[in-house]
Amino acid sequence: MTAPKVIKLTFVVGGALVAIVCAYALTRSPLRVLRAGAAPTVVLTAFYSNGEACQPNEVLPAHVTAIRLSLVAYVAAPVHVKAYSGTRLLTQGSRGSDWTGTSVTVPVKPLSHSASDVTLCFDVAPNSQAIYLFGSEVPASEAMTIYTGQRIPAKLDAEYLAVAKGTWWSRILPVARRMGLGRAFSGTWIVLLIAALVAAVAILAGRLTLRESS
Amino acid sequence: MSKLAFAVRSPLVLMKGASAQRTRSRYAASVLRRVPRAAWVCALIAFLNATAWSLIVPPFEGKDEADHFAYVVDLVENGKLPENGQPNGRYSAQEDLVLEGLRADEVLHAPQHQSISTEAEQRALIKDNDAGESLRGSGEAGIATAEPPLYYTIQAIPYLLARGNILVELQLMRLVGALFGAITALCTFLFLREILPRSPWAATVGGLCVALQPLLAFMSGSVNPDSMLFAVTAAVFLCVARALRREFTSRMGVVLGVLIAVGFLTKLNFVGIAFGVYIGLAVLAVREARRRGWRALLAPVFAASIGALPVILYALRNAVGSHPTLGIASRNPSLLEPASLLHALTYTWELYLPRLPGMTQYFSGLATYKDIWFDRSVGLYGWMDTMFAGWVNNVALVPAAAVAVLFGREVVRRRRALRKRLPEFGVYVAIVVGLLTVIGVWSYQSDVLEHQPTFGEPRYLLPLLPLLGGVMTLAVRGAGRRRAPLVGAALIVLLIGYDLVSQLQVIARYYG
Repeated sequence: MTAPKVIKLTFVVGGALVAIVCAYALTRSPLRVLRAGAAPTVVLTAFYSNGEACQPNEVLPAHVTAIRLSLVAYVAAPVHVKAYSGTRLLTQGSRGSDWTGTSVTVPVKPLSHSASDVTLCFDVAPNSQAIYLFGSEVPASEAMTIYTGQRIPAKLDAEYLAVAKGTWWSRILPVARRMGLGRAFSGTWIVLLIAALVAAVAILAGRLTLRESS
Repeated sequence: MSKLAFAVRSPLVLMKGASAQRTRSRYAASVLRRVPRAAWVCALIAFLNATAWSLIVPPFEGKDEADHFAYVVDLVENGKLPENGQPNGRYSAQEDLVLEGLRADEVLHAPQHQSISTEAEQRALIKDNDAGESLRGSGEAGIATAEPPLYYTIQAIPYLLARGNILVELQLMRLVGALFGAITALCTFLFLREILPRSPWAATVGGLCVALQPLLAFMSGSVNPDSMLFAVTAAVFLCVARALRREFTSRMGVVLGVLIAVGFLTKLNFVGIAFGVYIGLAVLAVREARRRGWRALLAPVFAASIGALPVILYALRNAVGSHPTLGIASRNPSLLEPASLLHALTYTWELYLPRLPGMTQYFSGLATYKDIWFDRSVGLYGWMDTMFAGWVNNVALVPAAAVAVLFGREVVRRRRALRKRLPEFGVYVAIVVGLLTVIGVWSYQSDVLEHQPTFGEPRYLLPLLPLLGGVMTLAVRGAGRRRAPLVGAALIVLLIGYDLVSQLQVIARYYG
């Protein structure tokens, strides 16, 4: 087979694979908040090495697939989350160091029923970076315990998330409308312009590769 | 009439000036004509890609974009550079109002908060944008304050074109960034054709791989001096390669000197690149002196002295004004003490490579080369708040390993040719080491000494994109003549798909 034919075939097969991957990604659903935490207003404390903390009086809704904690890091560390009812482990999950920003979303095994009076524990280990805990002040009875023996009258912001009902496919139009906002010249035409630019990039790259090969 | 005034007005002088101007224009036109069409197409691709990203990322959600914008505002509205070290600096009232309308503070760093989503919010934003509040801030531009002014001076042009409408100003500034992205791709293409002239198709693939890089497009599609730094560094790579492979003429020496000066005036990180470039100039000086005698030293001397001019002027200005001589670089003089320097170098090693026995542990539990540099190179957009899931980074190891194996194979196969070019590759290695060391030492200062964030962002490495293009080109060659078309085309499709998936990830984060 000649080089241009090989390139064309690779483009067709590769393009189809990219389309399949994108189409599959759009069949997934985003996460929605089942139960919001207290809005984070203050830095509660910071871990500069391994750290562990627990907070009581949490409510764990049914079908929660992830818990989002207000931990702030530029270079992160692995996070492990455990939810207890008394001493009984209800669910748990882990996230590697592949996160950064003002929150970490940790996937957990969903429960079929909701549970109250849950103690939510998490640990950050191994760690050598500055990781800040954000939350809000609460009465002493709801205080969070840091496992250096410290008890701080505050609560870490924790949100409980589940998979939303609609897929990304079903959200294409609302997303397109939102993309048209926030600029001086608003309108969904911005999405069409982006699509045209992306298509032009792909076509030009393909044509150049083919043309230079012959 | 004075002699000078007569000379200035003399038609003869005017004619001579016009003739010189015409000659220069003709020379520039002939240089541009010699650029292959494929290079222009690569540049166009990078420009269109960055433009698409500039429309995808909401205003002021590019990394540190509000600070860089504030620098331009200070420069234009206050007529002076932002002041260093002023605490509690404020943006202009107008910029603050628009940031509030966009809910920018709430959205940045926090993927759970998305961009504005209702018509009411849009109306409020437009009202804020048209409020006509004061454009004068407190003379502070946050993290951008210490940066040199050239990039911001260029960005003053789009700012003035749309003066009074922040959202339009920002979009025009982003398009200027996209132009820098195009220059980066153009120079990278020419660099690859220069260093690998016998593999034009493979070099085209390498150039395209750089033009399609989503992180380059994201950075070029936002207001950030990094975009200009990438372009200047790519031009420096091209110039150094030409100088090392051809005769280093005085004209080329002047061009390289100007590029070095522009680099110093663009972003502080250029210091690291300049280290390698000056080693290159030393290599060139020795070679040219051996070949053509002492007179041939003119070109390296021109390049070195023109390049160092901004640094000398800056140091003089600081010395006269009783400021630290090298500005922010002299912030922590204790770093130069042997013990401290050793710690900084150990830290720098561990920032990129596995810790060796006997070294202090700075990154417990982290494989920095994977967790910071590889994973984040796969995707880190927005205000460091948009990443792929961990499994995507692991999947990305497969094509990366394949490219590394093919590259290694080609290097081993062509080791004799490489040995002949050892000084040239030594210069490229020195540029890499210089940049990595500067980032490492500054990160040590921030992380260890000041308990501030680690400098763990792969965008700092993007000035090395021309070398990445070289790796891609050699990987295509390493596949052998029969499989090269398959590997090259697969790389292009992979990059297009990667760019597209990255865009979808960012769209989901801000608008999902």
